[in-house]
Amino acid sequence: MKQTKNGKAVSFNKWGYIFLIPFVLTYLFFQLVPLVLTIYYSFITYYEDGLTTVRSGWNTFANYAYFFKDTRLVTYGLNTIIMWIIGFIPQILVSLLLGAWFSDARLRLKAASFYKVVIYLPNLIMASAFSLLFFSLLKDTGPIHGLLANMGIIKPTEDLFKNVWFARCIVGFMNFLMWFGNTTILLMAGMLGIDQSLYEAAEVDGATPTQVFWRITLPLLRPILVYVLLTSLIGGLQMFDVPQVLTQGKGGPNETTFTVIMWLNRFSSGDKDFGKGGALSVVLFIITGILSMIVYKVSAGKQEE
Amino acid sequence: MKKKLLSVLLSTAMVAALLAGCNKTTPTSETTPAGSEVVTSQVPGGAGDVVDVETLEDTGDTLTIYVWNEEWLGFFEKYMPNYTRDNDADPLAGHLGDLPVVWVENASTDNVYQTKLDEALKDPNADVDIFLVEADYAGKYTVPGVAKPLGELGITDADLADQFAYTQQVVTTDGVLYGSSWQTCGAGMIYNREIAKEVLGTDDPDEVQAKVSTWEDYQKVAADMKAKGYLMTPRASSTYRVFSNNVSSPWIKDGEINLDPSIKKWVDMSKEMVEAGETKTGDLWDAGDTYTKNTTFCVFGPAWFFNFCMGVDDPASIAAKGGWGLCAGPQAHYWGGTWVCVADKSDNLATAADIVKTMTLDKDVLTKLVENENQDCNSKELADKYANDATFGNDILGGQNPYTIFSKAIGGIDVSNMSQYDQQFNETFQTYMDDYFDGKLTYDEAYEKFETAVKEKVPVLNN
Repeated sequence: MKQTKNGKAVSFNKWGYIFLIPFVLTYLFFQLVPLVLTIYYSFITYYEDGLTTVRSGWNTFANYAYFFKDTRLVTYGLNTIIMWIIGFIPQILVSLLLGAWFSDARLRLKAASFYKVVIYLPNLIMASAFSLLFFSLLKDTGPIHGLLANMGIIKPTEDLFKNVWFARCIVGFMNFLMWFGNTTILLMAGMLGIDQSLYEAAEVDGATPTQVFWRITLPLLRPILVYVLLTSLIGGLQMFDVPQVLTQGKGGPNETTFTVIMWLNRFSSGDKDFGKGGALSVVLFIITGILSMIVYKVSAGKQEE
Repeated sequence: MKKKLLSVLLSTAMVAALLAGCNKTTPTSETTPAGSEVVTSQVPGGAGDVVDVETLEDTGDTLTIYVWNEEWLGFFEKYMPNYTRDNDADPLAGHLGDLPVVWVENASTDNVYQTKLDEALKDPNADVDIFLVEADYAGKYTVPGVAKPLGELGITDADLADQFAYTQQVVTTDGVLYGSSWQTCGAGMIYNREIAKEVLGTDDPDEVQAKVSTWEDYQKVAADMKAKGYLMTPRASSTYRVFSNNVSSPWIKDGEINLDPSIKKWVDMSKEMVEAGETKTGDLWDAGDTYTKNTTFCVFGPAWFFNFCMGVDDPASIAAKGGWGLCAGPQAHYWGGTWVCVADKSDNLATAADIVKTMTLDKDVLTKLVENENQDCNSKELADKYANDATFGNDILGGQNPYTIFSKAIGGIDVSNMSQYDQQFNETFQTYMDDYFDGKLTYDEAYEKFETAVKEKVPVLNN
């Protein structure tokens, strides 16, 4: 605390609060109010019919019951998780490797910051633009399709996007491409935070780089890894723009790339159904909460061993 | 002290900047002025009570026009007197005389156009003067309180007498007319002349027509095409409109989803054709090299197909070489059409009324649309004139006169089974049927999935 000439303490704390105003206001109006309204709408009948809005009161969980009367929630949820895993496994492996290389002072990598920028770049492109690009290249009238057909790898009439695993892997691959740079930077920050003397001690004791990685880096990196896993899981459950644009909202073939948020989007793409849309959002919120809790418990439990 | 001053200054600036955005509040109304029912069969109506044109006023400072593509914008730039684009690079801003014109363009796919238009119509602070509608959902907007009856724009029954009846039925509610169109959309089978010569031995429209006069014959020709390595149509959905616009019952009947036998016939035929490799599933608007190489025999479409889908601007295209022919095909049909409506809340009624009159009713403009833009115009007089004009021909069709074929198609148009939900039904139905054609689902599974999905897009069926 700074002392002024007459000895009175000047408190700068209030400026902190003032500078928080934009965040708090934005949060209140654009996050909290819609959040509370969403929960409220999920309990009432509220939808549009053409230009008319139909709204009536409390409907005793009818909106919620709608999502549990068939198995689609499970099907679409599994689609989402599968595509997330396809993207996340290579993402975490590549990021660990790159992070280890970038943070290893002994490697003396040249132009490291250049590569850091390059791997982060895909994340700067809008996901929808990125997937439109992939769609245009790979669709049955696109150039890559033509190339593969000319080389005899696929039949000219074959549409790659009609193959379930191709479509899912492309979605996973694009998520991987977009996010591995971000993960690398997070992991690298974690790795740089590890006490260098540990590495030096290990070196003196003759540990191999593999041993150093498994015995020092990985255990000390666990808090960051848990953070990466959790944020990626939450982001993954909300997967939308990549499969939406890649399949033109159809989630094809046969809804195998149809995600939960694409389903949510259906309630707002025609005449809007705020009631059911709200209910699905709340269900997804609860599922995300439960999964996050499990992941957190499992990883935090290990840490205490 | 300086620091303190700076802090006060900074935080004030910040809060002010934050609140600046709140200046324009946008209250959303919970209820809209008019309820809209499923559009039922209508008798063509009149313009309603006609007001004196002189009483119409312009009070707004901008004219805002909602469109889903730049087709009409292009015509507007060429044929609306005194209209100029502000800057060459941006087609969406211009001036009509002194009045600034703003075009708001939203794609029609996935309902984006309607969503944005609905928001603008409901929001009392948003400006909408003119908006375009398609037949698939016109009924949603042609209701009191949303669109202006043409009579209130000073347009009389006499002004409208020369229009084709079906174009008025589409935009009529309770006997009142809410919109006007410059075009008619009688459609036919547009075929590749070179392929016709090779496989059928002739490219003469009458002789080709004789070979595809029924759907059974059409499928026989498809098999011949397949044998020579050609596709019959680029996509299974290429023929969808022929069947869906020849239905004898609407999509929703007594509150239940109803599949018309005509559409079921499309499903059965397309399944056979996809399995035989005579056509492909996929996006209708992505026809691949159909319009540039001799790979595909035919497409089905109306006059707007010529300059809007067939790539005529590309000198290498078949259209640029006049390599297409036109015949009626197995079944007469129509497809689409664009109607111009004036928003009820428009604050530039005089200009808006003038635009409707000039762009959809003026014979000189209609003539130019026919002669320069390949449009099929909404005037019985002009349609008759061109149908009987031996010298009139279309370059894309190698000089063939399309009017003789399109005029016949217009005669059979029946719009009584349309509803405002048709776009959702047509889009969703084709999506799930593609999975059936590809063998990913059985027909019953695909139909069940379609029903579930379409109900979620039309919540009135789901609540």
